[in-house]
Amino acid sequence: MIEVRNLTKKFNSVNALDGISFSIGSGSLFGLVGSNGAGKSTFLRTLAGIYEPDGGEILVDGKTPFENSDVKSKLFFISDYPYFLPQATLNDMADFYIRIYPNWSKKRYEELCRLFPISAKDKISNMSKGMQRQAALICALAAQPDYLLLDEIFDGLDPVMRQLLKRIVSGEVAQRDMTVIVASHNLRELEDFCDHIGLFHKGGVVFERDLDELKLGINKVQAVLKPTPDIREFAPLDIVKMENRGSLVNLVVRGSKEEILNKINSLHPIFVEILPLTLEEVFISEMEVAGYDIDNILN
Amino acid sequence: MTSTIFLTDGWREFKVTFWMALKKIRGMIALLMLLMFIGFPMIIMIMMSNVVNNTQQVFTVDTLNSAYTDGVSLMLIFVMMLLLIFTVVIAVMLFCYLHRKRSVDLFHSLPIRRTPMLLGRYFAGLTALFAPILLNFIIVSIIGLSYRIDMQYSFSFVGGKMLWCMLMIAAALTFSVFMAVCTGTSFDMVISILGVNAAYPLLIYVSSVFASHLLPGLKIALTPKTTVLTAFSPFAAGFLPLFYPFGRNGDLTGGVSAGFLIWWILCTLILLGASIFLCRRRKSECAESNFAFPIPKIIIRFMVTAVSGIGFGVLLLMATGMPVSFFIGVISGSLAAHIVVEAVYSRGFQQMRKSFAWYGVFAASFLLFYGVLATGFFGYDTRVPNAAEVEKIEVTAPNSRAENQFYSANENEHFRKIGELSPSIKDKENIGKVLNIHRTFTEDNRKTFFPYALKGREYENFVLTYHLKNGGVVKRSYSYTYNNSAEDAAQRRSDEMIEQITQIDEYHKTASILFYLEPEYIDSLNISMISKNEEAKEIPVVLNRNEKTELLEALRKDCLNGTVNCAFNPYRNEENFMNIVFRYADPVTLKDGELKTLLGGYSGKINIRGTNNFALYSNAVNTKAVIDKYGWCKSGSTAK
Repeated sequence: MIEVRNLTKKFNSVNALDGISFSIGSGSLFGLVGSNGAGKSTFLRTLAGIYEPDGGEILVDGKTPFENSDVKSKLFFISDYPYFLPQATLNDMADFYIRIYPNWSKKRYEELCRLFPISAKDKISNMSKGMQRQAALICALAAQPDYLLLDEIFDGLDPVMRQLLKRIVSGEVAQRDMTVIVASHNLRELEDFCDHIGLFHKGGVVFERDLDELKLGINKVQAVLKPTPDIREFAPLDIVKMENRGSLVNLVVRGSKEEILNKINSLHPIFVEILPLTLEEVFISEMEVAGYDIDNILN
Repeated sequence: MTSTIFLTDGWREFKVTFWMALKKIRGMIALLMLLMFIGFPMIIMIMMSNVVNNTQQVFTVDTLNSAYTDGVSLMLIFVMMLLLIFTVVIAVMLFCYLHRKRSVDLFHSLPIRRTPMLLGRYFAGLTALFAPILLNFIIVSIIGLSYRIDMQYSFSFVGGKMLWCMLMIAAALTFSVFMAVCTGTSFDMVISILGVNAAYPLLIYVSSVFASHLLPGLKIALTPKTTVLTAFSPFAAGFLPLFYPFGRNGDLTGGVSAGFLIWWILCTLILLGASIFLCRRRKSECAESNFAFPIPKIIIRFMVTAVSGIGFGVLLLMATGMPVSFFIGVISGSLAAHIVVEAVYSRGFQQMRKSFAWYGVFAASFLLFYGVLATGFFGYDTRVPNAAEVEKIEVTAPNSRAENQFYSANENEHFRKIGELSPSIKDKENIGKVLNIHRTFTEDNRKTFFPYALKGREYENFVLTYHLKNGGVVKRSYSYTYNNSAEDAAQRRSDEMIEQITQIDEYHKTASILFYLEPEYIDSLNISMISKNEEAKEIPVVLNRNEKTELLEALRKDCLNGTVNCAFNPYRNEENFMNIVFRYADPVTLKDGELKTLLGGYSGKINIRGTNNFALYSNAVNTKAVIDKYGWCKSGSTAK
């Protein structure tokens, strides 16, 4: 269980984290999204015990991670540019971590080495960006941490490796109740991977929700209506967004599918269809309602 | 699932870090061992073999000891240089992780706290430096033993040097670690290490020269072994004393004072404590920025600005002899240094305008320093003790006294210096006389020259050292031309005061070896007849005890009359004079008398070194009468 209470982190006069508060339950796959400079990496580094908070607190199982090796032995952080010992091979890194992480599993390490197509005897510095991330992941998963912190882990990974990564990490979550926090500026990457999402913007958390809950409560409707009705005629539906293109009406509506269809059908549409929303669309809708300029946040 | 015990213990964290760090630098350890072996034991081996195989020279135990000692002392310069270079390299290798954001991400997210992380790496660095030192010094000791160097001597001499090396290397490494913690990049770390280690001793040196030129009575005599000169510069402290004559035989410290060693032990511990304290408070995000803590940058910039300003000023003053050039030097030197340091540290000129506030701090400090010295440093210029306080006055006047040193001739002491002539005034009346002369001089000086200005030229130093009854010491030093060649009024006054003091009989009696010699200490003598128009004639003379006694008495009388110059520089502007040159017995067995008292009742045999010639002027009647009486100059050599 991770609890964040009024957490603040400043870099000179800039508030990288500005009094954020939320919690992450055990065994969840938590996605942190936000534009560059939103505070995602700062949050992960604070959670990993690299940065000391300037205010508030961050607790992992009730303890602060900064200068606490007990807590840190349960955490493994892969930064956006993973660092390896100079001239080290994957085996050297394994030899390094084996002395440090209490749950390091040699068996798991060997399994992972077979799963990922990289050589454990080659120098990591000579590997591509994607291969270096695979190397970091092998080490992280072999360390069998309770909390895995991943910063922009999908960068540089090809689609096959992304899927493999998602599958392995999800498996670990299911088997060992591991908590994963993954930061990305790409919502689509997290859509089929995370069960919780937190949106960061300018050092604050705009919102934090369960993904299913978020998706189930909102629907996209495409309908052809003649004549085009006024938005008031859709009452009592909770319209989040409405766009007209001639007689084609696009709606984003909160509520159950049945309730929405009943109302639209009462307006005698020529055609009506309820479509699934992508996570990005859900975010755009929610953010616009909240009064944020979403293009500015996500780009 | 997770162990809460594993690695929570600081000792375990330390051990893990220590071994990992040692593994990382194992190549450097091997390289250092090899280079040290080539430059130290191998050279000693070659030198010793050369001494033994040199058939031109008859070698004794002393020759071997001397060759061994000299070889070790000489090669120690190379060893220390090598060790100091490796200290910086190893410190950078071990602590550069603090200076890169990516490596900080890795190491600060590991379940190892910062203190064991720092200490583990620090002790790995120490081990990496100490292991080659230990190994190579042991080899050198074994070489010594194989050449029949006394075992106790070999081990104590080499062991002493080894411990000294270890202490200074520990200090240098700790200082480097401190800088690594304070800085944000490895480049800043290295230039800060170099900056402090070069700027601090230079600052102390140029400040002392500047202060000595300005404040009457002050002359700071710094040697490479003066603790304060290198007190915050471990690299200079480890290196500079090696260029100074080395103490031999059981001198475990390389000739440096106990205070020097105690300071560096304390300083090392304080620096280590400070490094741990700062490391725990260091923000990880400081990696790749200039400094994690701003104070070192401010201090380094101040030191470099001050040393460049005052140094350039002193240089111009010495070159031109004009005080105004000193101020031109201070302004131009300090300004240039400030701009360069700021540009280097800030990687450009963006922060330059803001940084001039700190230049203002230097300017204000310099003006304050100058003002305090020019106004007599709170009465330092006129402070002369009261007669009732003074036990003894030591008078040091180069070229107006004999320069004699006394060395032990005992076999097991290897020419240890046991004393030297030290002119002093102990008589109450004479003490009062010196104090009056000195007091009148300082008061006149203040009336005439206050506030004091920089002196363009400095001559020899005349030093009055007052040993007080309460154990305190008051020391005053004045510029001294000794040949009355002074050009300015202040210098002439100084010369007059010195002449009055050196005319006191008690001064002569303690300044000349003549008053310490017993007939048995003289083996033979040569008389040189020096004439402007003729070639110098040299007459060897061998005397019996009575003749020696008579000659010494006559010389002493003439010395007090001022007709025999018993000083180191015997030549005066006379066309014809006679020079008596003694050959001292070698070694001398000390008899009860003045010399034995001077040497604190030393009972062994000694060697007398230094002044042995005495110029007789035309009016040296007593000595000439003795020479004429025995006809030494008429008959040439007289053997008795």
